[in-house]
Amino acid sequence: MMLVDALARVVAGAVQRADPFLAAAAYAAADEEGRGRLEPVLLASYRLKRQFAEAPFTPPAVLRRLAGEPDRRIRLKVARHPAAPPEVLRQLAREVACVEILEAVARHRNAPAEVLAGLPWREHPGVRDALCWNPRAPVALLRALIGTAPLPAQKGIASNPNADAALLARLWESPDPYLRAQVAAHPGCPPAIMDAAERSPEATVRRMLAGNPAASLQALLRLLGDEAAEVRAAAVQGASVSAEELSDLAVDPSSQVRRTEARRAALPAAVVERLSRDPDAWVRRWLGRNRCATEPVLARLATDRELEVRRAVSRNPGCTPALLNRLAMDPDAWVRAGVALRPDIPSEALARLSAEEDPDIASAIGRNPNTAREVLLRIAASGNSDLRRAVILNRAAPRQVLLTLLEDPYPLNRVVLAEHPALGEEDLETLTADPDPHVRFAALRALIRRGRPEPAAATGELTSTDNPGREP
Amino acid sequence: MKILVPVKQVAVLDEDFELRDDGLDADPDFIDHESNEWDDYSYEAALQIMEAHGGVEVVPMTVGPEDAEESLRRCLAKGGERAIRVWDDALTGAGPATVAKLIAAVARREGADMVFAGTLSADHSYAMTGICVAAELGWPHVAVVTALEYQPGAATATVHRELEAGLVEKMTVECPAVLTIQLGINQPRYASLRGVKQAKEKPVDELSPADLGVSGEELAASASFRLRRMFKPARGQAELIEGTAAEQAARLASIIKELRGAA
Repeated sequence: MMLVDALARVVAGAVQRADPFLAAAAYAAADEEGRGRLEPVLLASYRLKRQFAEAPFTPPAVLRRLAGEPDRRIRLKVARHPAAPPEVLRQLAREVACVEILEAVARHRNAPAEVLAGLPWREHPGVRDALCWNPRAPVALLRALIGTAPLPAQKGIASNPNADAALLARLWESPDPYLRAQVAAHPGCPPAIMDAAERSPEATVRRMLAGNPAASLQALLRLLGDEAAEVRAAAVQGASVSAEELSDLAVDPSSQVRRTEARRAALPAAVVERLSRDPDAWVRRWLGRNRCATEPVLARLATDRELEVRRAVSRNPGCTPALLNRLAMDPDAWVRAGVALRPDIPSEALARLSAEEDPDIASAIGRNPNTAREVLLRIAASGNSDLRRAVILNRAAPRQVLLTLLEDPYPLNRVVLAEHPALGEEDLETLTADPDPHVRFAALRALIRRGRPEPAAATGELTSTDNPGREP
Repeated sequence: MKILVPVKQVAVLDEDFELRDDGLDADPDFIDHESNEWDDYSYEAALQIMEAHGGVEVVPMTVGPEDAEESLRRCLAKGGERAIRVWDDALTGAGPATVAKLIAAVARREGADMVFAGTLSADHSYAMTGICVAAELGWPHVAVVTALEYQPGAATATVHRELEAGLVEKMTVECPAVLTIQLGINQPRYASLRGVKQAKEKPVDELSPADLGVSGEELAASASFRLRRMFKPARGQAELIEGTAAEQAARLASIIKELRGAA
């Protein structure tokens, strides 16, 4: 009930203060009557409509309303908005007089398949080409499109997850190597085409085949011996290739191949050992992050001359507490910061690093869920806005610490703070009076998410507490 | 000792903007406003001098309509006790020389000892206003200042300017002077919430050109150019890389190699 009251007060304030950002946040929770009262604030000018039609944070309910605006430019922005809901795109797809809107719908990832299928693509090449690239375009539509699709759009069909074997076979006939490569990479690629792709003189085609999750184990094993390093590297990533089968590649002349191998899971101990002594620092770095690196290998990499290798070890989940304590004394702060980030940081290392002032370390300590309240308070009082934000991003930070950040001078920090679960509803209500409109929006949105009141309940409270005499 | 800091509320265009029917500016429906980034640095430079020494007053001012007061409040939220806004509807579309004449008039009226302006404004980028103010006042000036050593009341200030290839020019300028401040000279602060609240209560003097003793004829005579047309030029040489991911990567790699002289 308290939350509903708080919402009602804030929403009433939005109307009274003619605050469009509070109105935008409140709009989703309001019923028809409440929305009717918020709309004059929310849609007071063309500029506001434009801003909300393109702002990434605009709630779908507001986009729905803007889709009904008489101004075509606003509707076009809604059609291009990544969060435009399917029903809005269905409505906008009826705008046969505006090709730009139709193209935006044809390109939109939220557009339902039947809406895409109904778009007038024969009359508009731009709509046709956009449909070819839309992963929601159904196979029947793709079959119809391929007849007139130019080469660039055919590449869209080749990468479309709904393309079937018949379509892919047709596209494989193209002389364009990139189109054929895309066909070879498609999980639905027919076996006969995969065989042909394996023998292709184009390394790009073989590489894309090697990256295809549907490629057979036999094909991958053959591709591991390919003359082109990029093909071997792509084949190394194949999930069906066992670690043992990669043993020889630990001495591959290409560092690209060895780097890829160093990232693989479940490497045999001998391969781990060999890669850990690789002259290429990136190989050692990837191995340092690899969970299959053994304790002795990690201990050796923790003394590597390359800072980023030691940092990688500090982030490896398999690092022992003893090794973490040692890395907490590394001469380079970037490595020590890696230890400071770990939720399993040993208490000895945490105590040592909590006293450090280096920004990377202090930031990591600020985000660590084990950090003591006094330390968080000290970091929260820092003059560095990034360090203060680290505390805000710490989901375990207690409310008493966060209260000191309600008046953080950096508005972005306050926007992020509004999402923190430890803040009380009264704290969020305070933030809804913030001078920065984005903070007010984020705070009210967070309040609404917490309560998720029934629309009628929220608006009922709004009606009872609002002052009609002060409406704009 | 007083430092006058002229600031400007600049226009930010929506990416799909349209031009006004007269073809002389963007349609206001497609324009948002924000404080000029360069002015954040010039104001910070002035505040740092004020905070390091006693007896220094920093006064932000702007030549702009009522909406532009927001930029002044933003300054006052960081420091300073009062601001000045100069406006008359006849100033709509005024060029930098005209604006400079008014800023100079304020500097004289206030008895300013220094003027710190931003090097340029993000919307029109004339980079002229500060220099024109110096000309109006008959003061020395240094443009694109990247470091500043100045003791209030001193006869000179030492400044750095960045030149080509990272070369730094160190020079001494006699005071009073007009300095146009470059980005990066300092780290501008954010206003505290308390400062934002207090700024709402701080006085902003509203003056007209007539209040400053500048006549319409003088303003008209100061117009140094006439805007004839604003238009979107034909597309440049930019290349939109299209095709599959592999094709785009290959094209990007070839462009990089080409730029590095490897192909």
